Amino acid sequence: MNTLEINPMEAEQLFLFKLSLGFVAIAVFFVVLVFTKRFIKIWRDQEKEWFLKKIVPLIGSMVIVKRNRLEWRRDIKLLVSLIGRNHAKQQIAIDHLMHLKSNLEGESAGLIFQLYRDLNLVEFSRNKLRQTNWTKQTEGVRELASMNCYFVNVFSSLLQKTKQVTLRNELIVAMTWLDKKEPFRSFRLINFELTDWLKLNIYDQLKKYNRVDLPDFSPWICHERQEVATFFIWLAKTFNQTSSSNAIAHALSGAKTVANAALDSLIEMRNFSYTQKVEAMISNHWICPDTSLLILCYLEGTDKNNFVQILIDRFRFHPYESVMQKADRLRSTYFEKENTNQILATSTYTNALHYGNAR
Amino acid sequence: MKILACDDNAFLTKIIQLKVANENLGTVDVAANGKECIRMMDKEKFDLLLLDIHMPFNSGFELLTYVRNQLKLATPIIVLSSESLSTTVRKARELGANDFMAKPFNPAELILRIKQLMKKYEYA
Repeated sequence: MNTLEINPMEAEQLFLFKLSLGFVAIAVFFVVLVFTKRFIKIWRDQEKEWFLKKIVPLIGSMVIVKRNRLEWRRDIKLLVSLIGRNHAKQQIAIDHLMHLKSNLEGESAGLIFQLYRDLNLVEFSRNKLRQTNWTKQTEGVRELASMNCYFVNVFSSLLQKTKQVTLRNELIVAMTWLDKKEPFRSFRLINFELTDWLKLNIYDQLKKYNRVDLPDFSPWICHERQEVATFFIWLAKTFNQTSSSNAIAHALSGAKTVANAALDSLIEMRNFSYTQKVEAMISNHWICPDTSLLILCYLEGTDKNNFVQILIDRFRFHPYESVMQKADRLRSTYFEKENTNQILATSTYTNALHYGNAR
Repeated sequence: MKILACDDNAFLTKIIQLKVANENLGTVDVAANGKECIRMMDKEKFDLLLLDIHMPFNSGFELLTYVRNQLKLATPIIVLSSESLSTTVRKARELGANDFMAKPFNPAELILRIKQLMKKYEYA
């Protein structure tokens, strides 16, 4: 037998040995990796804690205790020297300021904004917008927005460029509050899905406005997209913006959902000066139970006699379910019993009449 | 005057400490959670309590019940909470809170309310 020939048993053992060696090496690598990561995390946490211990009392005192210009500059210098150009420290400082901002308002909030600017953290956040990573960009938008910093061109171009929904939503919400000249610029710049999240957040931003400074909703009530028009009609109703009444009345001649929203708003706002327009809706919209009920509600607010006559005319040719629904609604909401009976008596449906009398 | 601020937000309690010290209103002791708050109240007497609603171990509501029903103390209590729903405010009032402030709050206004309460309870 040739001595150089490898025994198959030995080859197998060698292979197994190499395999186990490989597993051990991988295991060691992962253990080292986990420990290194852990060590780095602990070290970073300690660094952060140490850094926060240095800046928290100083920032707290700057936000709470009044300083003259010289004292303010001295403390800013001290903070700048502590933060330096270290990105991690800059981020910690921003996070702390944002945390304070979410808890404080009044003069202290103003001082937090001032600190953010004086520590040159604006540029740090702005640099994030130039990155390609959308999470970083979103972070930057959030930081700038919560510190009341707005760059119209930067925000607008980013909004037009990005396809990322989270970033886009963040920009739209931020612009609603920050863009005092044109809060709804985003609606003009791009077409986007108006989700419930967005609606709620836009509404939240608008709540921060003083009533007199609220932007005019009228131009958006006439928007070609129904969901946008409906949303702005709802806003006009919620904030009781009477100056938008004409635009809302104009929307009565729009699509069904928009017209319904407009009618509902006018009723809520107790504006009954568009009777003719509402009556004109009857020919197109009476077939729809939602709209016809809204029309009835509106007309009831204007002139009762006119309203009764309209009902008598209309109920005669109406489906049973709709008559029932209207009768019920009228009885419980608007009318005395004799009026309801008068209306129901004109109906061709005797069941509806019984129903009205029985109640 | 001795104030006990019970809030798990350390930055916020620091701000309160600074503001109260700046106004020369007294000292502020801090409890980071409900348990610590109870322990401190059992040990010492405070002139005013500042309570957060959401805290570890015992909530602000539980602390209110403890102070009013078990310790039977009339110490003025201001509840500071980020939850400003009318039901929360009503519940806090019903359990014996003297005042309610929603977060974010204005520190100057907090001082004003502390002073008002102190005047009412004749500590000033």
